[in-house]
Amino acid sequence: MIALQAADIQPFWLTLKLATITTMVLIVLAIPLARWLAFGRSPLRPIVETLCNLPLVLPPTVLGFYLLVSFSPVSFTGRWLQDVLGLKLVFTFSGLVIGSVIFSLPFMLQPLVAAFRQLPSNLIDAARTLGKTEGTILTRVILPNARAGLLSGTVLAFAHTVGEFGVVLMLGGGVTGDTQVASIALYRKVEALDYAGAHSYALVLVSFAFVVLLLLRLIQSRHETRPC
Amino acid sequence: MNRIPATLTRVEHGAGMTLIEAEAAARSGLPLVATIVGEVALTVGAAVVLACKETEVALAKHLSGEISLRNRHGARVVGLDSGSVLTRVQLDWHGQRIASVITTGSAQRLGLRIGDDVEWLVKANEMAVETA
Amino acid sequence: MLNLALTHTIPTPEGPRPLHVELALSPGERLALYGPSGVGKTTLLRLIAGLARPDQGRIAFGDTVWCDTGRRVHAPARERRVGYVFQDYALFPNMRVRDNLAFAQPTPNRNRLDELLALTRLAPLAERYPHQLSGGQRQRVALARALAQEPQLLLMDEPLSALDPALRVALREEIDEILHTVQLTTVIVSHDLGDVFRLAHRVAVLEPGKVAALGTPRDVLLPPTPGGRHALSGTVLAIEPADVLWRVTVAIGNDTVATLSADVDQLRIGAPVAVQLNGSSAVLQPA
Repeated sequence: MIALQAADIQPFWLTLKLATITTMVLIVLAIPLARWLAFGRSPLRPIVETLCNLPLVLPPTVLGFYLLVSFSPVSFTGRWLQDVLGLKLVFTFSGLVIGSVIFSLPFMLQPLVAAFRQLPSNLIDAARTLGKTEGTILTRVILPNARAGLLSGTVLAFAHTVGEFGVVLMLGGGVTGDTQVASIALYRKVEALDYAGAHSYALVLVSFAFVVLLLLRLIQSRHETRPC
Repeated sequence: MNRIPATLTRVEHGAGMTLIEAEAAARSGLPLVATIVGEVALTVGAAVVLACKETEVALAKHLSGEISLRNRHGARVVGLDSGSVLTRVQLDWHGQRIASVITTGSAQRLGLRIGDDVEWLVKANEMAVETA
Repeated sequence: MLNLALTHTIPTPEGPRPLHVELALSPGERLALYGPSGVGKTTLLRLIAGLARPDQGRIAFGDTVWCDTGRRVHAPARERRVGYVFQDYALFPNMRVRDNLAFAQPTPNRNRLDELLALTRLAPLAERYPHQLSGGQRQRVALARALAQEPQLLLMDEPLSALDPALRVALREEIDEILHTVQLTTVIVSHDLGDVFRLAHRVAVLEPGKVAALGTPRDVLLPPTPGGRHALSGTVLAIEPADVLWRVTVAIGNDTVATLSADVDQLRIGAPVAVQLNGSSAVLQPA
């Protein structure tokens, strides 16, 4: 950390805070959604799944642009959010969380849905014949046996939020101390021709990505060596 | 497989078995018997075919004394076909062809020649019944 | 005890086909569902368990109506107290043997759990995970777990089909003893005659679309054999000259037999052949 001063650590804290909150919101959101996608019967499932996966292929700026437009106080939805719910989402941390949740959703959802779909359907049927409620089946049978998928999803969603740039730039605007996360800070350093500072941010982000991917690899290999 | 057309003269059931007595169609007065595992619905007077494998037919000359076999009848040797181990003997039994496969050693011991008179013998449980 | 009369569409390779079934089981009775695969045996078990809904019909257990499509009644599986032994066992991989059983118990009861482990000879394996067990052991866990929920009806789907023949015979006798001990009304799906004769009091023979026969295994599955010869179906493997005869080798299932035959004109290598066995000449040796 050659050139990082106290003020430069701040974007990292903000990044971690954003990634942690985003990941927690995603866990709560994605588990029921994945369950519905994996075991539900509705014909709407392919459409919903496709919508959830759009961030995988869209340039992040597209998503950021739409969110910016719809959260803006001059738009109908933005005014409604502000007047009725008292939510100000443009250039604020709450707005960043919502944007990140939407943007990182597929990274949490995909491993979960895949893990749920891999479970033998007889496992769930067996729990049903044993008199268990759907809630008990989720917590005692489905989730424990989809641990690897849940872990992968958590790690990926967290890492992806850390690495995101387009959405946070469009929606957050890079307000120091409020919405300026590490990737934005790096961009600003380059803009200001402070290459030493930029290197420090870049190095930390690269190391983090490496550790995350290594962790993911270890989770997967551990799962492979423990057959059900 | 030897197939002998016959008419049922007696059908008896018991202990999960069926005992059958029949008379060969070739000539009257030629009784045949068969025992069958299982209770088979057959009626006296029905035309059937009794079947036995060639290798289950024994041959004898000048047989004397008592023997449990009831399927024993005199016939004439009309064909001999000898191999190194087995010999097939063709018999004429009142116009009905019967084939017997015995060991070549036994055929030599009996001194079988075409035209010889012999007796053929089959145990009742080796006779199967095919409805005609 | 169990009464059902229903019609349900079964997907078959020739397209969907309705299956109509009417059955009544008395308390403690063990009924086998016997028939070729794809005829709807497993589907029938799932309908009884409440894991699927029949197109039309009624299922009642004692005085309780589990399902009546006419009155739109359908009790979910968790309310039926049906012990279900799945063909693939469906043990919970995240739970040890003991926990699989404990999870199934309606109220925790350590003594009863130990009794069940003893009854199914699983006590030494109680702390193992399913993936640490052999096929036969998993099958016993599946049965023990189904019993641990104190079911009022037991359903077993091909309980022994995944096991090799030697183990199959031993475990079949064990299951027979366990079922004798617990005296539960039981429905067993099998396409194995050994299972049917050893484990069931009555058998329903399923054919596409219907129950073709219902009665004791002896009455239903051992029809009289005309002529006293029992035919096994086999395949001709080889026809070789043997002196004045032919030595014909035939595969029956996984075994081969060789026999001497005088007439082989009609036999072709690779073609199906009926091997007739004289009822009193077959020699039996314990294998």
